[in-house]
Amino acid sequence: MDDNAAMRPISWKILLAYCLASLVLDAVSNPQTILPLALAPWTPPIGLSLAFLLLFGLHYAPWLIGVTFLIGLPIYGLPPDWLAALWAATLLMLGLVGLTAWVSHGLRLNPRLENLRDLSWFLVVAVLAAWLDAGVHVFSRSPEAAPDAFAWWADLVNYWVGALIRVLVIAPLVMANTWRDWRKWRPTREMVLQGATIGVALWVIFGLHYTDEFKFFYLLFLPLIWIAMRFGIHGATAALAATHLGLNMILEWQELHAITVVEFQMLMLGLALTGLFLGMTVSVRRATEERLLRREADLNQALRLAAAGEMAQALAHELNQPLSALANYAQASRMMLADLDRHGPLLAETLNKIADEAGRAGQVVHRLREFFRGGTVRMETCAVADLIEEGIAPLRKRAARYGVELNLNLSANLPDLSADRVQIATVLINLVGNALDALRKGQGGERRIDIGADQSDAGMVRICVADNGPGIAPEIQDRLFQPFATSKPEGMGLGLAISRTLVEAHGGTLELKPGRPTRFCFTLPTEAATAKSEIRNPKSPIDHA
Amino acid sequence: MPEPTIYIVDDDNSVRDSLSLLLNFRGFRTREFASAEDFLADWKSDWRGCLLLDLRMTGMDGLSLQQALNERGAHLPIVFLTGHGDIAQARTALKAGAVDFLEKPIDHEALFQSLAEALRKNTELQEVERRQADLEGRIARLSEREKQVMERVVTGRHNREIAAELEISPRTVEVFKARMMEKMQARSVPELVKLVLEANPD
Repeated sequence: MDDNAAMRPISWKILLAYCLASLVLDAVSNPQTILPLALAPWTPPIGLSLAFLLLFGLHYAPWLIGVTFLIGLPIYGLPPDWLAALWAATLLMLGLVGLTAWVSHGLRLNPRLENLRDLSWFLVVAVLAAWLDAGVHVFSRSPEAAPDAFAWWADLVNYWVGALIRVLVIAPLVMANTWRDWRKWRPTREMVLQGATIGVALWVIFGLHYTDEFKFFYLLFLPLIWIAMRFGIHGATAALAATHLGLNMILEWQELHAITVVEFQMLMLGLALTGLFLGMTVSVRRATEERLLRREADLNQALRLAAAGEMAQALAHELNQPLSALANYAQASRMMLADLDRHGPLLAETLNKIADEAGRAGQVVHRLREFFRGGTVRMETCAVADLIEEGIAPLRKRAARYGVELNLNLSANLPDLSADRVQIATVLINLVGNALDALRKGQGGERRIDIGADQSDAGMVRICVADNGPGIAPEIQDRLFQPFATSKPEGMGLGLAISRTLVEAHGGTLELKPGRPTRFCFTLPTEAATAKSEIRNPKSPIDHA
Repeated sequence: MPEPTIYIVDDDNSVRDSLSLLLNFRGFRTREFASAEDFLADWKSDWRGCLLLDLRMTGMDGLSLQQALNERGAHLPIVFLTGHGDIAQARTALKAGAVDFLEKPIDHEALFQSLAEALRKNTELQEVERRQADLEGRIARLSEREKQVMERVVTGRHNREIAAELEISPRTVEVFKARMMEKMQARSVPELVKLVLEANPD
């Protein structure tokens, strides 16, 4: 509810809905079954009013009183003491306004009931509202109705239980369901079956004459739990309303004693609380799952975008050179055509160069296709030295430009690896690229990157990239491998996350070694080890589709 | 004095070769360098023409070469080539006196225009330099007295005042002044002022 709710106009549609809902409630419930109350038809129904005030704003309060009074007139006539009735209705509404203002503005309760906190505070409000309702109604009776204090208290508590159930059944039903996206809602066979189960449970409880009514009350929990588990708070509120309606009708039809009614109401209270909290728990969990799924989808999308973005930039640069040369040669060829006799041989030579450049551009595209090849890991046997060379070759120019020395230090007799060349090259480009960026920031002194490989333990080869740069800030070390952790202003923070995923897809690990120099190490299984464990075509975690 | 030449500095062999071929056909003299360092090692102060310079290169990049040349007082105008435009780099280059900043693949018309402008700029610079050298030569031929008189004439002193300051007769001042005007090839005092300003733009 926003703060200038009072400025908003009153919607006649909302009042009409309130009006219809009041009439339905009046028809299906009869509080006078329990206690003869003079004022009931002329006071606003408590659960409905609370829900409307919470959902639509406090400025509806006087209108709700008016509407209730107007509906009561044709059905029940003018109450004998109409001034007292109006006074009671106003008192009740004032109390509700106070409660609503407190939870809406003080507690910032979301009236659509979307989490357990909302529901818990709503419960507190419901208890207080029910006391208010009970108080107003029991106080307003004539003194003869309750001869002593004990009877008076008993009436008050009885009325309170009834009022609390009405609030717990009606208000959450309205609050949780009003703003739902009803366009997507369709009744299903399951819902019909669930409704039927409620009917069967009621029939078993009341229909079988050889049983005590209370004995089988727990049966009502079964459809409620089923519905709450399937449809969350929305289902639970609907199931409670249906159960409450069924119970009310049966109680009226069987003309049970007031004392039995109260006992049923206590059971109903337990049912309502169970249903609401179970339904809310299910709803909250489902919303969380949906949010996680959405976030995961966003992340995948981001990974794909980042890879594509970096690729596109590299591609643009790589393609630009041959394209430039092509355009220049073509333009020169056109000039040669003007004097073919003189420039014939030169033109032939130039056309050869054009073909070469086109081939060079084609290679760039081929490499790109290689990178995005279907998102599967293509394992092949490769020598460690070749793998490393493929990974650092694209960075040699940059290293030279920054004045960084690249040192290779490979142990002798390293076994061959089983790996996807392109992916491991990607990992190395990332690690060495990060090291270069770190050194670029650093001031003066010798700048070096050491790339080493050794056999860490049986079946594994360890490749390390170390730089003598300024190191990694402790505050980002913890989440270094998480996506979007970055120390580069223009970086996406995806390089290490992607690298780790790629290494893990190979059955290895990638980690930052503590201390200086800054050293990242990853392991890859040897060819022999892979053959033994028979890892076949593991799925790539990154879907390039 | 060497012919005006377009010095192509680019680390991509094909780009360099194709540019050279194209520009030769367009009637330009060209000379190729595979790196900024190579160019700087060969560079002579009397080189004329302009520089067609790749921004991104292994080792020394285009902007660094521009800076190095500026520090050496070279007058070769520069047309930059770049793989993909970076506004910050373009601004740096243009502020440091670059004629143009072209993106690859190159629009040939724009390239020819920029090169023509660069060569024109180089010729102008040569002209200014030549004239300055000429004026400096004229001033160098003045005697000490004549120089003193000239300094005072251009600040608007009368013969009488100059005579008092230099403690010589006004008649002698007139003689020095006439000889100075002749050596400076100035027909009037305003023209003399213009020549002196041209010789010392600062």
